[in-house]
Amino acid sequence: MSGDGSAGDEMAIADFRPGEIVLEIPARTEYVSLVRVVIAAAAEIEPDMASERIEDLRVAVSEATTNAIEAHDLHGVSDRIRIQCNLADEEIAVVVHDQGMGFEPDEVPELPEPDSPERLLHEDGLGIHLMQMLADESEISATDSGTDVRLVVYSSKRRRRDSHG
Amino acid sequence: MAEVREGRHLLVLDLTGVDFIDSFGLGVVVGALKRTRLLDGDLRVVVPEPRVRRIFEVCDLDRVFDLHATVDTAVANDGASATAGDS
Repeated sequence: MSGDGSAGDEMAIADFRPGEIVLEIPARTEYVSLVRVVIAAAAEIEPDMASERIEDLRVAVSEATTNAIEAHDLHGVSDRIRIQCNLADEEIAVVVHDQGMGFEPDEVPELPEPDSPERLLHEDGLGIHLMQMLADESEISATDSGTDVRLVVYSSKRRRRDSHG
Repeated sequence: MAEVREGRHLLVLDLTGVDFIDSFGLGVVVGALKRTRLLDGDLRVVVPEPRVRRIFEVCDLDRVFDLHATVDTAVANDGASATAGDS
C-alpha cells in the first residue's frame, strides 16, 4: 500500500519484498522526524547493526530527506519523496529519491579548516558533509527526474572483516 | 546577542536534553558563535549527549567550539561570568 493518491498528505509505507521497506512522504519538513523513526526501527531488525551505526544512518537519511524536501520546495514539485530501505545480511542501504530537477554535488564548497576564520561563514552546507562522514558509502547521482542519494552503513561483522583486510 | 551588547562576553548555550541535531541545528549554533565573536564575545556549548557531541565532532566543530559536558564546567572554565540559555 504505497498510497493510492486519494488522500494527498498521508504517509505511505509498503513492504515490497523481503528486506525492502519503501516509504513515501509528502515533501514537507514535518515528515522528516517520521522518516528518522522508520529508518531506525527498520535498521534495528538487523541483529548485527551497532546502535551507533543506526544513529549514524538516522542522521544521514534525515539530511538526505531534508535536502530532497528543499529541492521539491525550490522547484515547486508537489510529488512525494520516496525513501527506499534495503536490509541485507551485512549492510543497510537507503536511497532517497527526489524529483527536484537535479543537484550537482561537485558544486558544494569544501569546508575550510576548523581553525580558519572562514569556517564560521559556513552556517549552511554541513548536510552533505555529514552524510559523507556518517555513512560507510554515500553516492549522489542525477536521474532523469531529479536526484538519488544512496547511503549505506555496514554491520559490525563486515566492518571488522574490512578492517582486517 | 543582547547579553553580549550588555557587556557579557561569555555565553553558554546549554543543549542538555537535546538528543538529536542535524546540519540545520549545527548551522544555527555556528551562526550564534559568529555573531557573538563579532561583538567580541564568545560562546561555549554544553553537550552532554554523546550522540549529539558526535555530530559536532564529525563536522570538526569540536575544534571550533568549546564543548562541555555540564554548565558548571563551561562556566568554571576560566571563572568568567556567563549566561546560560536553554536551546
